[in-house]
Amino acid sequence: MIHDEEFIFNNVLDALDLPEPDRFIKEQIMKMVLFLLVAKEIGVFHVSIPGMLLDDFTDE
Amino acid sequence: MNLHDHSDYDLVDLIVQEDMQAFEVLYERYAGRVLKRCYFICLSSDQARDLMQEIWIKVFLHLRSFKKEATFQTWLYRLTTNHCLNYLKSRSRADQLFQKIEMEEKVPTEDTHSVEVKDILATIPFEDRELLTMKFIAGYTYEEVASICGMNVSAVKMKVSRLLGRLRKAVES
Repeated sequence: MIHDEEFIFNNVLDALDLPEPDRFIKEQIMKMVLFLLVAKEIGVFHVSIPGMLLDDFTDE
Repeated sequence: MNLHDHSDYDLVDLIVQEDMQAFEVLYERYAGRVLKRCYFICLSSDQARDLMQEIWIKVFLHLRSFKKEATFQTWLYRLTTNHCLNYLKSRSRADQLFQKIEMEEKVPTEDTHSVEVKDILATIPFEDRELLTMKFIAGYTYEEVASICGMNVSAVKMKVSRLLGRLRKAVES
């Protein structure tokens, strides 16, 4: 039953032709993180980040 | 010990100490699930890719505030949901502001079958899509999904079964 459900859901995912996390996305993210580390090092951390990414997120 | 063998919590500790390799391992562990999650909220491949980039930057920026009271996956799941929903809200506000009706872009490479399944998915209310993503993408048990949603287990099972039935018809058509 559970396996059937997973099988159906996987078929849905296949049919949707979903994007995969390719190398380009990963490289972009790693570059941005590296950039933030450098920005922090030279003291321009907060001015280098778009405000929307600094939204408070403390909910756990 | 190989970084891939580290627990999520251990990787988080290393990332807080600015270990980029640990961040890469954590990214590889969860990137697929985050991307699918984004897609199931916004139903657009391009937007999902953009949102995923922002979410991982946000993970890096906010990891210090992760108190380990929940699992990392739960924290990431919540962060992803909040970020995507905020994006949808701001997009909705922008649309109203410019009184613009956004036309769904039909990507030429997207086949008709894929569009049909996506259309069915779009008719499923967000809350119900949440049940599917929690169960099959985040990997929660029915009991956990029921607890998170404040429903009883049999109601969740029944709803998921109905939703899958609808989607299966679309897939098989």
